[in-house]
Amino acid sequence: MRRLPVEAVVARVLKIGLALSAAVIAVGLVMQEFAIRHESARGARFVAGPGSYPHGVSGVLAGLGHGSGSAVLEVGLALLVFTPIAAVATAALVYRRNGDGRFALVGAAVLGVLVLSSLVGLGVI
Amino acid sequence: MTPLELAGLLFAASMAAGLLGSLLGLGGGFVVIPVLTLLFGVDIRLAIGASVVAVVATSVAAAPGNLESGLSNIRVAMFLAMATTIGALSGAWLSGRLDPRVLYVVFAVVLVFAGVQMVRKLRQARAVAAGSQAALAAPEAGDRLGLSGSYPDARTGAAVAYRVVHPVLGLSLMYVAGTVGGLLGIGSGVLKVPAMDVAMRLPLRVSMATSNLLIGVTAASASLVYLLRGDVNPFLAGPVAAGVLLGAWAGGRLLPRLKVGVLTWGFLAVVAVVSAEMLWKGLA
Repeated sequence: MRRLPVEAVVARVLKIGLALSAAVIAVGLVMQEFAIRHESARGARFVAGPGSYPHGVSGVLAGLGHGSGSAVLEVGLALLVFTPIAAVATAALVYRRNGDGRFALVGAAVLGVLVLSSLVGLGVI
Repeated sequence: MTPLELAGLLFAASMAAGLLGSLLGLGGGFVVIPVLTLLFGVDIRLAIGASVVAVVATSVAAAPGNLESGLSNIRVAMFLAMATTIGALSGAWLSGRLDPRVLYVVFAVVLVFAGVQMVRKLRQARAVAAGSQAALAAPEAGDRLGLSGSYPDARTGAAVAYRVVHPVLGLSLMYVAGTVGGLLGIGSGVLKVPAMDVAMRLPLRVSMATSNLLIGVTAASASLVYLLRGDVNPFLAGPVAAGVLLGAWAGGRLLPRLKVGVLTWGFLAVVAVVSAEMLWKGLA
């Protein structure tokens, strides 16, 4: 089996992820601008903490349900954050396919840490 | 000010921060956090949350080019990511528990360190790079891990081989770099690049390209904590990420045409003022 060039595959994943997240963020920003026009002056929201925007996975899902621009924006930001994670996962798979078990394991270890980060963020740990 | 104007202003300020950051090789975080906290009066924790997402964006945007040109070493990045992601997790966890005033003080200290690094880089640019690679005749740990590689020379395009040494030292330094990055929401390339080019003896250009790749996954680890904890305000992070990204892109275009030396000295003055102000905010 031909060895896949890891660099090229990872570069493609990063490009797709960036384009996708940029598109969703742009849609979210536009939706939000329209929402804010109607809601009159709410500049304070830009500097406010949790509570002024949908928070957590369930909060964002609920926000999407009633067409909230900030929820769409949060999905875009999440897609952006997931892009390097997808790149690591892809690299690990390519290494495994190329018969480089040791670096497939390195990739799996990094993904393990990222799962841990999610658990810490969710307050599970 | 209406919200629309505020969003536009945030976008413009972040774009300036991204532009300046990329011209100075610092990434956007170093500039955007003082701008948000000192000029816009944003809570430092929310400024960090917005910055860390913007850091992911700048890495993701620049990484494909560096990968395709063969400048970044993806094996070194994957290997070191094991340490930086744990560090970023520790830093982000710590950030949620520390008094915000401590964050101001730590930021001021790291900013001063970055200033010192910039002076060092200016001096190095004048001196000829020391050729310590030739001394590495015996097989090194970096070879056994398959970390050594080659990169295309800037002028001739010919492959220049390099050896990687001290991978374990590199891992420990990267843990520290990741922690600082996760704590302050910056890419901390200012710590990652010396860990690679001084400690692991990668060529400087390879270190910088690899650091950019590594910063993406490191900032993603910290971002997961901030995002899921609810410290990423989308109203703030949206315009900031978009602005920093555009600014960094423009900076990359402008860089070859500018005299960075003059800019660096100008920025050092700004570093002194900003770190003093951050310090004052933390201690007052």
